[in-house]
Amino acid sequence: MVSLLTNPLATPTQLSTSPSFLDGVPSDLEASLLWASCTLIQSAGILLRLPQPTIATATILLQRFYLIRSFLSFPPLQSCHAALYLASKLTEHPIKPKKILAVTTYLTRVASPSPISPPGSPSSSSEEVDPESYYIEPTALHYSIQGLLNTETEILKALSFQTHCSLPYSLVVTYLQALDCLEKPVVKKAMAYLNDALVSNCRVYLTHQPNALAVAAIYLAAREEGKKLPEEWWMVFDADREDLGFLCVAILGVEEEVRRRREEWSGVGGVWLKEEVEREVKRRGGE
Amino acid sequence: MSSRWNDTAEDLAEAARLKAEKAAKRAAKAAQKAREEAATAEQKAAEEAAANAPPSKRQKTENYTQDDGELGTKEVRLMRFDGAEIGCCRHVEETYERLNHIEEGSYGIVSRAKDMHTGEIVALKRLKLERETDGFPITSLREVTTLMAARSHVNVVKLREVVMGDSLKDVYIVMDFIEHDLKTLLDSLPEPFLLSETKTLLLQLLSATDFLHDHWILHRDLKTSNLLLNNRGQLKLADFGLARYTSDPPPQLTQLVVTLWYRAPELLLGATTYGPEIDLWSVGCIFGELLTRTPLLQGKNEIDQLTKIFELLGVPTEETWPGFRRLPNSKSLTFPKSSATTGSLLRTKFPLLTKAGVELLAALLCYDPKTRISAEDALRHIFFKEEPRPKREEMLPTFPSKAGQEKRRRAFSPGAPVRGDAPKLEGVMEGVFGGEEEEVGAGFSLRMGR
Repeated sequence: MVSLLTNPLATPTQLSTSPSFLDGVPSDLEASLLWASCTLIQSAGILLRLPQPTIATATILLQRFYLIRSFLSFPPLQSCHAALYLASKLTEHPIKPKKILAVTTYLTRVASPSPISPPGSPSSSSEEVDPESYYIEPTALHYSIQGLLNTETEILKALSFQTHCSLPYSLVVTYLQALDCLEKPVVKKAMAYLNDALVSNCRVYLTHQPNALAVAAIYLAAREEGKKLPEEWWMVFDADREDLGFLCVAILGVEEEVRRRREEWSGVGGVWLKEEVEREVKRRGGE
Repeated sequence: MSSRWNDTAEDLAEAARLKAEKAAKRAAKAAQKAREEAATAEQKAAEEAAANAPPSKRQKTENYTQDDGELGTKEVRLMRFDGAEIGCCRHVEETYERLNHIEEGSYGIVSRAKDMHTGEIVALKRLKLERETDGFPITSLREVTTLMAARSHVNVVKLREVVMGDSLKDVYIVMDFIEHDLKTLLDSLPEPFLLSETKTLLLQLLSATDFLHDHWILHRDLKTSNLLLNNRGQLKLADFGLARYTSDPPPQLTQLVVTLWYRAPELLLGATTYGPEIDLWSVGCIFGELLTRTPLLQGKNEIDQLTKIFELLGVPTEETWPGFRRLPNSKSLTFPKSSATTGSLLRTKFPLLTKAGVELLAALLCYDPKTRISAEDALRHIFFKEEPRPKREEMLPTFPSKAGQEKRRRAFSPGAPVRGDAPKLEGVMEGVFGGEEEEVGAGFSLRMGR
């Protein structure tokens, strides 16, 4: 039963000297690329009408993948495709590669409310958007699908097929039930914080087990909703105060981080492909 | 470049530390306040309790938490579970030396191999991925994930790791090598297992099944050739090629699972939602097979399989299986209503089995999935408590190791269904009517057309 509640975690060395870092990708660019990839997965997942557990699984798989592989060898866009595709299979909500490509192409080319939207103001009606702008050539589609399928196996290989992702969402409900505080606003807030945590710069899903994440999300949600919980209640769920403090700071920091990245991202205009990553590495290296 | 990174990391860490300190202070303040509040509430509650003669249960818990709060300074031990590390697959050529070929199926090729570092003997299963067009097949993903989830159970074959070759199509599942499979063993035994041995084997199978079901995994292909036995008397459940996670309420699932002879009647009748009960039907068939050494229900096709089931257990009725007539395929069948055909022949088929034994078998081969016995209940069945008691694992007989260097002789047994559309019974019907099987059929007949 234990294995179902635990995730494989990143070691400190893996976090500090990632393959991208060793490849000469500046750490801030790496963080930026990770943020953009996770955000793209979230936005694409919503458009693909995938359930949040599938989206979260894809995000975690991608973050684990880049612990082992470099952004220079595996450009972000293709990895996002593959992570979504793999997660959709793992969570039994299979989708076609073509659909994923259609959605990400739209998101990377047409202005939208997504934080990784290319510059421009989102149009209110779909008629204003020129369908040509997000059309994929059949040959390009073929190659993209091949790339997606190969990257899928690359992800499995890099993770030794350890694809199991325990998610904290259901734990939140169980814990709140145990705390006798199962109220809709608290649950909603806690879930929202868990979703925030997915794009956190600290990659908390790689450093903390789901029980700690659930506790932090409940702590923040209950505080915001003015709910009183018993003293040191997090002990019951095997989280200590130090972890809780760290996670709260990390999760609350996401808002500011997204604002900063959004600005940065609209400046560089999307770094998704191999050439774009190389160009950006060169530009930042030369600064 | 690196120095800049270091700066950022340190800054971040420092900021995080400060913030954490602040948060902790705030939390401490809040806790202090909460404590005070709790104390006043406690006082009030105590007063109220004094007023109302019998103290309520709720008050007791409050007392308890209060006490706990005061003792908050004492050491609290938290449970920590270490997860695995994240790391890349090893290379097959660098880790394992292939010894000999064991068998080949539609899923892949199994060979015996030696771990070059530890010298341990393992089974290496190469997946067939060449023809795949949808990337890594979902069935293989399920196989690996379910095996990983179940690898801690002693009666499930242990998945050691997954290794890869030079190409992305070269994927090998590495498992413990187990000497025998129950199918080959049953065929080669001069006598069937003793009842005490059968009980041991059945208990081990049920224990694995219970574990899987408890973890929301359906095996969907239980049969004797998928049960392995080592020379220490341990039974190991293998081949998770059709296994998958399920949920409550059950998702839409394909009915094209489980090898025909072990397939539950609700699957044969086309149910699209089903649960762990289908595995227990298979356990029932295996139980029968362990007793007689021959598969219990050897149908030639879906219709014949149903016929065989009805011959043995009688035709289901609204009482024995409420709602079975609403299943998709039962519309093309007509069932006689006379009571002569509804009796079960289990008793006569197994004359040497005790009353409890027949009861367990009947409970496993129960038509209605809702009332079919669960693995958990079956484990506690009285059959396992009466004489002869189950033998200890270590006391099971050992056999000359046929596996290893020798190529195994394999008796014919139909394979697990391959992926594709589930066959409709209508399609099979013509064949049935053309052939002679129809004559031997039980007391039900097929209605042509609709």
